[in-house]
Amino acid sequence: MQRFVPTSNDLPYMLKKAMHKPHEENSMKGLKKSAGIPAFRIAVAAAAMLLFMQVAARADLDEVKKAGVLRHLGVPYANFVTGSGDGMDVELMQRFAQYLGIRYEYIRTDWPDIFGDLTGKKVRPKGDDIEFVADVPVKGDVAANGITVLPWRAKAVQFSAPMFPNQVWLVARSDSPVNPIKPTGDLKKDIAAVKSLIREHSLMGKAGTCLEPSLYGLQEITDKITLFPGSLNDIAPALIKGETELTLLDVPDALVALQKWSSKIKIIGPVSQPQDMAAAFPKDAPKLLVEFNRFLEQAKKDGSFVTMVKKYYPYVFKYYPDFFERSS
Amino acid sequence: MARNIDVRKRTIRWYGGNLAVFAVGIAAVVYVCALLAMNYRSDRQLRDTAIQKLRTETDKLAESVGYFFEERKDDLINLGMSREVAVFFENRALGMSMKYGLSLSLPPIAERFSGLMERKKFAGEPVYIRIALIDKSGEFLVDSAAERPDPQLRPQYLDSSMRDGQIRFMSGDRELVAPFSYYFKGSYAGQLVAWLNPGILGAQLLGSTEKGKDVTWLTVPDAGGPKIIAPQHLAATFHKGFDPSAIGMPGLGATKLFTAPDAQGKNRDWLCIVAAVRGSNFRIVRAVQVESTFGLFMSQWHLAGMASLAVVILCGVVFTFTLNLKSQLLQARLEESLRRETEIQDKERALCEVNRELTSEIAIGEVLSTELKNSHMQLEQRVDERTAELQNSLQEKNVLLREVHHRVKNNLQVISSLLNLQSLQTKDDEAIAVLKKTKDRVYSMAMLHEALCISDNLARIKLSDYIERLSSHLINSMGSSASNIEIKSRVSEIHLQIEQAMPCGLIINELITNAIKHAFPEGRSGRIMIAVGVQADGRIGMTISDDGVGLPPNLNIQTVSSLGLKLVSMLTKQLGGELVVPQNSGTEFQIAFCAADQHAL
Repeated sequence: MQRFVPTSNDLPYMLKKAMHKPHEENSMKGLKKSAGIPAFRIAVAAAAMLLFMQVAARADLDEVKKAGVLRHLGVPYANFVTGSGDGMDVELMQRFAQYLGIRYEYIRTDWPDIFGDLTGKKVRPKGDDIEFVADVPVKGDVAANGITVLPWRAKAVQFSAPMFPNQVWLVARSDSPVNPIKPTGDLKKDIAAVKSLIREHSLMGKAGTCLEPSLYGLQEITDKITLFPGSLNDIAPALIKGETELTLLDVPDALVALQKWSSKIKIIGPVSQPQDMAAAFPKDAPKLLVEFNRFLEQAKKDGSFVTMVKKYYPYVFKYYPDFFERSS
Repeated sequence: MARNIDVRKRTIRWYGGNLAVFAVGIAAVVYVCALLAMNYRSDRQLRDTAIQKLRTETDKLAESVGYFFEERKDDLINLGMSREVAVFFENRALGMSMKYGLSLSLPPIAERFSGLMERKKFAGEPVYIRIALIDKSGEFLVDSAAERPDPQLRPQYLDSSMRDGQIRFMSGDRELVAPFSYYFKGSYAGQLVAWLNPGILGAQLLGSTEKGKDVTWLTVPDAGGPKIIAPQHLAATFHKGFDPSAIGMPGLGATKLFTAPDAQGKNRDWLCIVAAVRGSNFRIVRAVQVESTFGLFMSQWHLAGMASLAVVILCGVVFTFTLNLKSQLLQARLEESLRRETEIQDKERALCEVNRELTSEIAIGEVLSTELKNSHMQLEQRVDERTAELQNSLQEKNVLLREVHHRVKNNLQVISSLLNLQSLQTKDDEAIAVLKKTKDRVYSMAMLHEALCISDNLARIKLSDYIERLSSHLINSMGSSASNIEIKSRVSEIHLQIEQAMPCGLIINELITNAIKHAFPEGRSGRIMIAVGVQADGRIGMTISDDGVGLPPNLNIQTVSSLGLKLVSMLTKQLGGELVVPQNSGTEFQIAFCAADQHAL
């Protein structure tokens, strides 16, 4: 996607683009294959990296402003991006674009491609690390649709300040014999109690997301694990329809499901430590990130952010009463 | 003077009698007119009140239907704003599949639909017979009915402009539906459609028509005028035999009278009232039987009755007036007859007096008449005697005059004989010729007197006889020299006095003698023509011509030396005539003169 016609002022950006691919490749490879790489190549790469970082720090926000549009990458998910033109993150990014004085543009993507569309490098997780897949065109300036901050993701992109709490919950149908645990105030105990309930029951997760059971060692608890092939948003309905007895759901999905089918599901308890959700920026756009964080801080201070959260996730304050007070 | 007084009295009496009749008549007519006006006014007020009542009832009916429609709109809008419907479209926007998320979203909607259908009832009847949620693709997502509509009819339900929940007729006016265009997050997502129970609208709201006294139906404006929707398809309320489409709809607030059959097929007068259904484009059209509303005696009947009464009274007044007028006329005629009779008697007496006077005068006249007759007879006798005397005297004078002419003729014949004898004695040819000419001239004069002697009238001669004899004489007197010459005369019936006959005879004598002598030399044969007649100008024209050798060229009759021609010219002047000698072949003398005596012609 060609965004503008280069001029002499755009030289740093052009240089950055020219240097981007070798740098990324080298950096990626560097993570996995540091041995055997010639020293001069490392030196060149490091120099290029330094140069690129300096140039990018000066150009990212300016470039976006110059383009006059903030391209928001989003996957319809929960109430962050509803798929029908609104959502908490959509509204937040619209306000951010307004804050920058530029136009807002939503670009729909999907989970496997979202980081590639943001950075130009398609990667896949490998444990807490990432694996380069291919070069792809850059399509957006920021990705925001309730993206959980995970270690492997943090290696591909840089995240803004936390915007929403997340945690993986175990969820069952209302008529399930598995009942919610009683919180003890000790998260580790609570997680252990929840995990103990999974035994002998079928459990559903989703590969490649925070709902992957292996992330939480659940495969060692039960062998009745299925990975849902469909959309994340369909997991709760699948549970209600009886595809499984138990399922993992992250907080936003669970909150949305509670909003829609409150009488049909129940939250058993957490299976993970609390996580944060945040907006993702390319690593070569530090100024844009700083500007967004500044904007977010201001929105939290003036209460407009909380108002937005209440609008889209009214139940979240019940489960995480401290998160937004803390963040503001 | 006395007569003028009578006329005045009669006039006053006539006017007095008729004025009373007039006054009574006018008062009666005014009274009837007042009654008529008041009756008509009260009848109109009654009628207006009845119409107003009907209009109020119709407005209430329209208000009820409008409220019913508003409720349906609210139901649809509430459905559209329900969380259940929103969840489905939210889930779809999130990319949920029909297998899981979407199929899970539909049962709550169906439950909501069935709940609404169960809950909404009117007079024990369900308001809705069916409710459906239709995707914008045309797929029926939720439908309370088992059967899906005809696929060809499905597109009609999809209309993104139906956001107001207005009640409409669809499927060729067979279905009464409340459609609601569903928008999700600002985009058209599908349609909520609720089918209404037409029986509610017909039987419960519009009312029954079983009595046949009134018909109420629902219309909707259409391009070609108001389109009557119900009760055609609301069969329970439709009045059999009634054709509402044949009636032009009145405007809002207006009324219209029309004739249409009732339930029994009998033609009735109907009054039509239209009211708008609030918040929709529907109209309630109500037709009520005029008879049932206003009774048989409608204003026009009252009007007709009172008008006929007024006419009867007016006729009575006119009749009375006419009778009175005739009576007055008869009385006047009777008085006139009496007056004339008196006058006739007076005249008769006067005539008797005159008759007596005339009788005495007639007696006197008879005496006088007898005397006059005697006098007249005496006079006649004296006239006869005097006439006889005069006739005798005239006869004597005629005899004497005839004798004078005879003696003159004898004397002239003697002179002619003497001249003849003298010529016989003369040796000189010129002298002989002169004598002969003179003899002929004298003889022609003698022949004139002879003609007068034998004529009945001694004062005139018949010119034709005279010319005939004169020409014969001239031919005979010329002897052998005129043997080849023929004289033809054509003379009209003209009688001339002797004063004009004499010159004429001498002129003819001169011209014929001249022609015989000079026109036909060397024994040539020829013809001499004498023509005498009355010309167009009233003068007597005399022409003597011949077909001889003609006159010498350049002959001037005025200056000629010949005695004969000089004589002709002189005699013509004596006649007071005019002589003309045309220059033609042959010779022709034309003489025209006026007759001295009007009896000549």
